[in-house]
Amino acid sequence: MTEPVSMSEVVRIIGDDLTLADQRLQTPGMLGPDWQALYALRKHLDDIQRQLVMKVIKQNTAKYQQLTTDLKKASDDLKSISKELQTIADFFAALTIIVDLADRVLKL
Amino acid sequence: MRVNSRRNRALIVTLAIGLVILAVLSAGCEPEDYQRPIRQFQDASKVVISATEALLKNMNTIEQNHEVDQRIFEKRDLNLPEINKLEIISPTEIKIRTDALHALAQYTTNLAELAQGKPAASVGDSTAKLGTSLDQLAEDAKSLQVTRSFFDNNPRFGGALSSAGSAIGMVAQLMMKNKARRVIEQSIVDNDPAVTQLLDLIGEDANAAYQRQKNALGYFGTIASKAYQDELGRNPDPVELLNFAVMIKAYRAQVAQLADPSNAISKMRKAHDALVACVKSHKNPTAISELNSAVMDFVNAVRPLAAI
Repeated sequence: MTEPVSMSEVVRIIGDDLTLADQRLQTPGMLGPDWQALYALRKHLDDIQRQLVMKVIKQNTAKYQQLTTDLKKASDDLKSISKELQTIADFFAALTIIVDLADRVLKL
Repeated sequence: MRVNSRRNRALIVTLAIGLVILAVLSAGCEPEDYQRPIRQFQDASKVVISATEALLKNMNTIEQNHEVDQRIFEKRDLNLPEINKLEIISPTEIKIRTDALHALAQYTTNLAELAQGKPAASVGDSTAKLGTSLDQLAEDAKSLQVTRSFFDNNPRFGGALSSAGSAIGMVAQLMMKNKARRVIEQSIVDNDPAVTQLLDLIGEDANAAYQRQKNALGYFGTIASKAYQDELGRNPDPVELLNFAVMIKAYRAQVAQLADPSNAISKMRKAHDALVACVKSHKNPTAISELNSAVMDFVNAVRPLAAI
Protein backbone atom coordinates (compact mmCIF):
# COMPACT_ATOMS: atom_id res chain seq x y z
CA MET A 1 0.00 0.00 0.00
CA THR A 2 1.59 3.28 -1.10
CA GLU A 3 1.32 6.41 1.03
CA PRO A 4 -1.26 8.93 -0.26
CA VAL A 5 0.35 11.92 -1.94
CA SER A 6 -0.78 15.29 -0.53
CA MET A 7 -1.32 18.37 -2.70
CA SER A 8 1.68 19.97 -1.05
CA GLU A 9 3.72 16.95 -2.15
CA VAL A 10 2.30 17.19 -5.70
CA VAL A 11 3.46 20.82 -5.91
CA ARG A 12 6.91 19.80 -4.62
CA ILE A 13 7.15 16.92 -7.13
CA ILE A 14 6.28 19.27 -10.00
CA GLY A 15 8.80 21.78 -8.64
CA ASP A 16 11.55 19.14 -8.75
CA ASP A 17 10.56 18.23 -12.33
CA LEU A 18 10.69 21.88 -13.37
CA THR A 19 14.18 22.14 -11.88
CA LEU A 20 15.28 19.14 -13.96
CA ALA A 21 13.75 20.70 -17.08
CA ASP A 22 15.62 23.95 -16.36
CA GLN A 23 18.88 22.05 -15.97
CA ARG A 24 18.36 20.51 -19.42
CA LEU A 25 17.36 23.84 -20.96
CA GLN A 26 20.39 25.56 -19.46
CA THR A 27 22.79 22.95 -20.87
CA PRO A 28 24.22 24.06 -24.24
CA GLY A 29 24.09 21.80 -27.27
CA MET A 30 20.37 21.23 -27.75
CA LEU A 31 18.98 21.85 -31.23
CA GLY A 32 16.71 24.90 -31.59
CA PRO A 33 13.43 23.01 -32.23
CA ASP A 34 14.15 20.58 -29.33
CA TRP A 35 14.85 23.50 -27.03
CA GLN A 36 11.63 25.26 -28.07
CA ALA A 37 9.55 22.10 -27.57
CA LEU A 38 11.02 21.41 -24.14
CA TYR A 39 10.62 25.06 -23.15
CA ALA A 40 6.93 24.95 -24.16
CA LEU A 41 6.43 21.83 -22.05
CA ARG A 42 8.22 23.44 -19.09
CA LYS A 43 6.05 26.54 -19.40
CA HIS A 44 2.88 24.44 -19.47
CA LEU A 45 3.94 22.52 -16.34
CA ASP A 46 4.75 25.81 -14.61
CA ASP A 47 1.26 27.12 -15.45
CA ILE A 48 -0.26 23.94 -14.00
CA GLN A 49 1.74 24.29 -10.78
CA ARG A 50 0.62 27.92 -10.40
CA GLN A 51 -3.03 26.88 -10.68
CA LEU A 52 -2.64 23.83 -8.42
CA VAL A 53 -1.21 26.00 -5.63
CA MET A 54 -4.43 27.98 -5.54
CA LYS A 55 -6.88 25.18 -6.06
CA VAL A 56 -8.76 23.11 -3.51
CA ILE A 57 -8.94 19.52 -4.75
CA LYS A 58 -10.75 16.62 -3.13
CA GLN A 59 -7.97 14.27 -2.12
CA ASN A 60 -9.96 11.37 -0.72
CA THR A 61 -10.98 9.93 -4.09
CA ALA A 62 -9.56 6.85 -5.81
CA LYS A 63 -8.91 8.89 -8.96
CA TYR A 64 -6.84 11.47 -7.08
CA GLN A 65 -4.81 8.76 -5.38
CA GLN A 66 -4.19 6.91 -8.65
CA LEU A 67 -3.17 10.02 -10.59
CA THR A 68 -0.85 11.33 -7.88
CA THR A 69 0.76 7.91 -7.34
CA ASP A 70 1.39 7.72 -11.11
CA LEU A 71 2.74 11.27 -11.04
CA LYS A 72 5.19 10.37 -8.28
CA LYS A 73 6.37 7.34 -10.26
CA ALA A 74 6.71 9.33 -13.50
CA SER A 75 8.74 11.92 -11.61
CA ASP A 76 11.06 9.19 -10.27
CA ASP A 77 11.50 8.00 -13.88
CA LEU A 78 12.44 11.53 -14.95
CA LYS A 79 15.04 11.68 -12.17
CA SER A 80 16.61 8.40 -13.40
CA ILE A 81 16.64 9.67 -16.98
CA SER A 82 18.37 12.87 -15.85
CA LYS A 83 20.91 10.97 -13.77
CA GLU A 84 21.73 8.56 -16.58
CA LEU A 85 22.02 11.48 -19.04
CA GLN A 86 19.67 9.82 -21.49
CA THR A 87 18.69 11.49 -24.77
CA ILE A 88 16.51 14.56 -25.02
CA ALA A 89 13.84 12.38 -26.65
CA ASP A 90 13.67 10.18 -23.51
CA PHE A 91 13.59 13.23 -21.26
CA PHE A 92 10.88 14.85 -23.38
CA ALA A 93 8.75 11.69 -23.36
CA ALA A 94 9.00 11.36 -19.55
CA LEU A 95 8.18 15.03 -19.01
CA THR A 96 5.19 14.76 -21.36
CA ILE A 97 3.74 12.00 -19.15
CA ILE A 98 4.23 14.22 -16.08
CA VAL A 99 2.53 17.21 -17.73
CA ASP A 100 -0.39 15.01 -18.77
CA LEU A 101 -0.82 13.58 -15.25
CA ALA A 102 -0.47 17.00 -13.59
CA ASP A 103 -3.06 18.39 -16.01
CA ARG A 104 -5.46 15.61 -15.06
CA VAL A 105 -4.94 16.31 -11.35
CA LEU A 106 -5.73 19.97 -12.03
CA LYS A 107 -8.96 19.02 -13.77
CA LEU A 108 -10.24 16.92 -10.84
CA MET B 1 23.17 -9.14 67.68
CA ARG B 2 25.95 -9.39 65.12
CA VAL B 3 23.37 -10.49 62.53
CA ASN B 4 21.21 -7.43 63.26
CA SER B 5 24.17 -5.10 62.92
CA ARG B 6 25.05 -6.67 59.55
CA ARG B 7 21.44 -6.29 58.40
CA ASN B 8 21.44 -2.63 59.46
CA ARG B 9 24.67 -1.99 57.59
CA ALA B 10 23.27 -3.70 54.47
CA LEU B 11 20.11 -1.59 54.78
CA ILE B 12 22.12 1.62 55.11
CA VAL B 13 24.28 0.74 52.09
CA THR B 14 21.18 -0.10 50.01
CA LEU B 15 19.52 3.16 51.05
CA ALA B 16 22.65 5.12 50.23
CA ILE B 17 22.91 3.54 46.77
CA GLY B 18 19.21 4.25 46.21
CA LEU B 19 19.68 7.88 47.17
CA VAL B 20 22.68 8.24 44.85
CA ILE B 21 20.70 6.72 41.93
CA LEU B 22 17.77 9.04 42.70
CA ALA B 23 20.10 12.05 42.82
CA VAL B 24 21.72 11.10 39.51
CA LEU B 25 18.35 10.59 37.84
CA SER B 26 16.86 13.84 39.06
CA ALA B 27 20.06 15.77 38.33
CA GLY B 28 19.54 14.83 34.65
CA CYS B 29 16.61 17.20 34.29
CA GLU B 30 16.85 20.28 36.45
CA PRO B 31 14.85 23.35 35.39
CA GLU B 32 18.07 24.79 33.88
CA ASP B 33 18.12 21.86 31.45
CA TYR B 34 15.10 23.35 29.73
CA GLN B 35 16.42 26.88 29.54
CA ARG B 36 18.85 26.35 26.68
CA PRO B 37 16.44 24.44 24.39
CA ILE B 38 13.68 26.99 25.16
CA ARG B 39 15.96 29.89 24.24
CA GLN B 40 17.12 28.11 21.08
CA PHE B 41 13.53 27.26 20.15
CA GLN B 42 12.47 30.90 20.59
CA ASP B 43 15.38 32.22 18.50
CA ALA B 44 14.83 29.66 15.73
CA SER B 45 11.07 30.40 15.72
CA LYS B 46 11.73 34.11 15.16
CA VAL B 47 13.87 33.30 12.09
CA VAL B 48 11.38 30.85 10.60
CA ILE B 49 8.48 33.28 11.11
CA SER B 50 10.26 36.17 9.41
CA ALA B 51 11.51 33.96 6.53
CA THR B 52 7.99 32.60 5.96
CA GLU B 53 6.59 36.13 5.98
CA ALA B 54 9.20 37.29 3.42
CA LEU B 55 8.51 34.34 1.14
CA LEU B 56 4.73 34.78 1.30
CA LYS B 57 5.08 38.50 0.58
CA ASN B 58 7.16 37.67 -2.50
CA MET B 59 4.43 35.39 -3.91
CA ASN B 60 2.58 38.33 -5.48
CA THR B 61 5.73 39.78 -7.08
CA ILE B 62 6.55 36.40 -8.61
CA GLU B 63 3.18 35.97 -10.26
CA GLN B 64 3.07 39.65 -11.31
CA ASN B 65 6.46 39.20 -12.99
CA HIS B 66 5.11 36.14 -14.75
CA GLU B 67 2.28 38.33 -16.10
CA VAL B 68 4.88 40.86 -17.31
CA ASP B 69 6.68 38.05 -19.21
CA GLN B 70 3.40 36.83 -20.67
CA ARG B 71 2.45 40.28 -21.93
CA ILE B 72 5.90 40.82 -23.43
CA PHE B 73 5.62 37.45 -25.19
CA GLU B 74 2.18 38.37 -26.54
CA LYS B 75 3.44 41.89 -27.46
CA ARG B 76 0.72 43.52 -25.34
CA ASP B 77 0.76 46.75 -23.27
CA LEU B 78 2.33 46.21 -19.89
CA ASN B 79 -0.11 48.37 -17.85
CA LEU B 80 1.79 48.09 -14.57
CA PRO B 81 -1.04 49.48 -12.36
CA GLU B 82 -3.26 46.65 -13.63
CA ILE B 83 -0.51 44.07 -13.09
CA ASN B 84 0.02 45.37 -9.53
CA LYS B 85 -3.58 44.42 -8.76
CA LEU B 86 -2.75 40.72 -9.33
CA GLU B 87 -2.73 39.29 -5.85
CA ILE B 88 -2.18 35.66 -4.90
CA ILE B 89 -2.17 36.30 -1.19
CA SER B 90 -3.34 39.47 0.56
CA PRO B 91 -1.50 41.26 3.40
CA THR B 92 -4.27 40.09 5.77
CA GLU B 93 -3.80 36.46 4.74
CA ILE B 94 -0.05 36.75 5.29
CA LYS B 95 -0.60 38.36 8.69
CA ILE B 96 -3.01 35.59 9.73
CA ARG B 97 -0.34 32.97 8.98
CA THR B 98 2.56 34.75 10.65
CA ASP B 99 0.48 35.69 13.72
CA ALA B 100 -0.63 32.06 14.00
CA LEU B 101 3.00 30.92 13.85
CA HIS B 102 3.87 33.44 16.60
CA ALA B 103 1.04 32.09 18.77
CA LEU B 104 2.06 28.45 18.22
CA ALA B 105 5.70 29.22 19.03
CA GLN B 106 4.64 31.00 22.23
CA TYR B 107 2.36 28.10 23.18
CA THR B 108 5.30 25.71 22.84
CA THR B 109 7.38 28.03 25.05
CA ASN B 110 4.61 28.05 27.67
CA LEU B 111 4.58 24.24 27.64
CA ALA B 112 8.33 24.28 28.18
CA GLU B 113 7.87 26.50 31.23
CA LEU B 114 5.31 24.04 32.54
CA ALA B 115 7.67 21.14 31.88
CA GLN B 116 10.46 22.82 33.80
CA GLY B 117 8.25 22.99 36.87
CA LYS B 118 6.57 26.41 36.81
CA PRO B 119 3.14 26.42 38.47
CA ALA B 120 0.43 25.88 35.84
CA ALA B 121 -1.50 28.96 36.97
CA SER B 122 1.48 31.20 36.19
CA VAL B 123 1.42 30.32 32.46
CA GLY B 124 -2.39 29.90 32.30
CA ASP B 125 -3.15 33.57 31.65
CA SER B 126 -0.67 33.91 28.79
CA THR B 127 -1.85 30.59 27.30
CA ALA B 128 -5.48 31.74 27.46
CA LYS B 129 -4.54 34.91 25.54
CA LEU B 130 -2.94 32.76 22.81
CA GLY B 131 -6.14 30.72 22.47
CA THR B 132 -8.20 33.92 22.17
CA SER B 133 -5.78 35.36 19.64
CA LEU B 134 -6.07 32.22 17.44
CA ASP B 135 -9.87 32.40 17.73
CA GLN B 136 -9.74 36.01 16.50
CA LEU B 137 -7.46 34.99 13.59
CA ALA B 138 -9.99 32.27 12.75
CA GLU B 139 -12.78 34.87 12.58
CA ASP B 140 -10.57 37.07 10.36
CA ALA B 141 -9.81 34.15 8.03
CA LYS B 142 -13.46 33.12 7.75
CA SER B 143 -14.48 36.66 6.82
CA LEU B 144 -12.12 36.69 3.80
CA GLN B 145 -13.00 35.60 0.25
CA VAL B 146 -13.72 31.89 0.00
CA THR B 147 -11.70 31.03 -3.06
CA ARG B 148 -8.45 32.72 -2.15
CA SER B 149 -5.20 31.39 -0.79
CA PHE B 150 -3.32 28.14 -1.39
CA PHE B 151 -4.60 24.60 -0.93
CA ASP B 152 -6.86 25.48 1.95
CA ASN B 153 -9.34 28.17 1.16
CA ASN B 154 -9.91 30.77 3.84
CA PRO B 155 -12.89 29.20 5.63
CA ARG B 156 -11.06 25.86 5.85
CA PHE B 157 -7.90 27.51 7.10
CA GLY B 158 -10.07 29.47 9.53
CA GLY B 159 -11.52 26.16 10.73
CA ALA B 160 -8.03 24.86 11.53
CA LEU B 161 -7.23 28.11 13.37
CA SER B 162 -10.45 27.82 15.31
CA SER B 163 -9.72 24.20 16.34
CA ALA B 164 -6.22 25.15 17.51
CA GLY B 165 -7.65 28.17 19.38
CA SER B 166 -10.21 25.99 21.19
CA ALA B 167 -7.58 23.35 21.98
CA ILE B 168 -5.20 25.88 23.53
CA GLY B 169 -8.12 27.59 25.29
CA MET B 170 -9.12 24.30 26.93
CA VAL B 171 -5.59 23.68 28.20
CA ALA B 172 -5.43 27.29 29.48
CA GLN B 173 -8.67 26.92 31.43
CA LEU B 174 -7.34 23.88 33.28
CA MET B 175 -4.13 25.78 34.03
CA MET B 176 -5.98 28.79 35.39
CA LYS B 177 -8.26 26.63 37.51
CA ASN B 178 -5.12 25.07 38.96
CA LYS B 179 -6.31 21.57 38.12
CA ALA B 180 -4.16 18.56 39.00
CA ARG B 181 -1.00 18.38 36.94
CA ARG B 182 -1.83 15.02 35.39
CA VAL B 183 -5.22 16.40 34.22
CA ILE B 184 -3.47 19.35 32.52
CA GLU B 185 -0.84 17.06 30.99
CA GLN B 186 -3.50 14.74 29.58
CA SER B 187 -5.39 17.70 28.15
CA ILE B 188 -2.21 19.00 26.45
CA VAL B 189 -1.68 15.60 24.82
CA ASP B 190 -5.35 15.15 23.86
CA ASN B 191 -5.63 18.63 22.33
CA ASP B 192 -2.32 18.62 20.53
CA PRO B 193 -3.47 17.23 17.12
CA ALA B 194 -5.37 20.50 16.48
CA VAL B 195 -2.21 22.49 17.24
CA THR B 196 0.08 20.40 15.05
CA GLN B 197 -2.46 20.33 12.21
CA LEU B 198 -2.29 24.12 12.04
CA LEU B 199 1.51 24.03 12.00
CA ASP B 200 1.37 21.49 9.14
CA LEU B 201 -1.02 23.68 7.13
CA ILE B 202 1.23 26.73 7.48
CA GLY B 203 4.16 24.51 6.45
CA GLU B 204 2.26 23.49 3.31
CA ASP B 205 1.63 27.13 2.38
CA ALA B 206 5.31 27.91 2.93
CA ASN B 207 6.25 24.96 0.70
CA ALA B 208 3.98 26.28 -2.08
CA ALA B 209 5.49 29.76 -1.80
CA TYR B 210 9.01 28.31 -1.86
CA GLN B 211 8.31 26.08 -4.88
CA ARG B 212 6.84 28.97 -6.87
CA GLN B 213 9.81 31.16 -6.04
CA LYS B 214 12.31 28.41 -6.90
CA ASN B 215 10.63 27.75 -10.27
CA ALA B 216 10.40 31.45 -11.13
CA LEU B 217 14.14 31.69 -10.49
CA GLY B 218 14.79 28.59 -12.63
CA TYR B 219 12.81 30.19 -15.47
CA PHE B 220 14.87 33.37 -15.16
CA GLY B 221 18.10 31.35 -15.31
CA THR B 222 16.88 29.43 -18.36
CA ILE B 223 15.98 32.58 -20.28
CA ALA B 224 19.27 34.28 -19.35
CA SER B 225 21.42 31.32 -20.40
CA LYS B 226 19.45 30.90 -23.65
CA ALA B 227 19.98 34.57 -24.48
CA TYR B 228 23.71 34.14 -23.84
CA GLN B 229 23.87 31.03 -26.04
CA ASP B 230 21.94 32.76 -28.85
CA GLU B 231 24.33 35.70 -28.74
CA LEU B 232 27.28 33.31 -28.92
CA GLY B 233 25.76 31.72 -32.03
CA ARG B 234 25.76 35.06 -33.88
CA ASN B 235 28.70 37.39 -34.26
CA PRO B 236 28.87 37.93 -30.47
CA ASP B 237 28.85 41.46 -29.11
CA PRO B 238 31.17 41.43 -26.05
CA VAL B 239 29.07 44.06 -24.26
CA GLU B 240 25.92 41.97 -24.73
CA LEU B 241 27.74 38.87 -23.49
CA LEU B 242 28.82 40.78 -20.37
CA ASN B 243 25.26 41.97 -19.79
CA PHE B 244 23.99 38.39 -19.95
CA ALA B 245 26.79 37.29 -17.63
CA VAL B 246 25.62 39.90 -15.06
CA MET B 247 22.09 38.48 -15.29
CA ILE B 248 23.35 34.92 -14.89
CA LYS B 249 25.44 35.85 -11.85
CA ALA B 250 22.44 37.61 -10.28
CA TYR B 251 20.38 34.46 -10.87
CA ARG B 252 23.06 32.27 -9.28
CA ALA B 253 23.31 34.55 -6.24
CA GLN B 254 19.53 34.37 -5.72
CA VAL B 255 19.51 30.58 -6.06
CA ALA B 256 22.23 30.35 -3.40
CA GLN B 257 20.16 32.47 -1.01
CA LEU B 258 16.84 30.74 -1.51
CA ALA B 259 15.89 28.40 1.32
CA ASP B 260 12.81 26.33 2.07
CA PRO B 261 11.03 27.38 5.29
CA SER B 262 8.64 24.42 5.17
CA ASN B 263 11.46 22.09 6.20
CA ALA B 264 12.17 24.33 9.22
CA ILE B 265 8.45 24.44 10.08
CA SER B 266 8.37 20.65 10.00
CA LYS B 267 11.36 20.55 12.40
CA MET B 268 9.59 23.16 14.56
CA ARG B 269 6.66 20.76 14.75
CA LYS B 270 8.99 17.91 15.78
CA ALA B 271 10.51 20.08 18.52
CA HIS B 272 6.97 20.88 19.68
CA ASP B 273 6.12 17.15 19.72
CA ALA B 274 9.25 16.44 21.77
CA LEU B 275 8.25 19.11 24.26
CA VAL B 276 4.74 17.69 24.65
CA ALA B 277 6.39 14.32 25.34
CA CYS B 278 8.57 16.03 27.97
CA VAL B 279 5.55 17.57 29.71
CA LYS B 280 4.05 14.11 30.03
CA SER B 281 7.29 12.36 30.95
CA HIS B 282 7.77 13.95 34.38
CA LYS B 283 11.33 15.11 33.76
CA ASN B 284 12.50 11.87 32.27
CA PRO B 285 16.14 12.32 31.11
CA THR B 286 15.47 10.43 27.85
CA ALA B 287 12.61 12.79 26.97
CA ILE B 288 14.75 15.86 27.67
CA SER B 289 17.58 14.43 25.62
CA GLU B 290 15.14 13.88 22.73
CA LEU B 291 13.91 17.45 23.18
CA ASN B 292 17.47 18.78 22.97
CA SER B 293 18.09 16.78 19.82
CA ALA B 294 14.78 17.91 18.18
CA VAL B 295 15.50 21.56 19.02
CA MET B 296 19.02 21.24 17.56
CA ASP B 297 17.51 19.80 14.35
CA PHE B 298 15.17 22.80 14.26
CA VAL B 299 18.08 25.23 14.80
CA ASN B 300 20.07 23.57 11.99
CA ALA B 301 17.07 23.67 9.62
CA VAL B 302 16.66 27.38 10.32
CA ARG B 303 20.30 28.28 9.55
CA PRO B 304 19.89 28.59 5.76
CA LEU B 305 16.89 30.88 6.34
CA ALA B 306 18.84 33.33 8.45
CA ALA B 307 20.44 34.72 5.26
CA ILE B 308 17.05 35.63 3.68
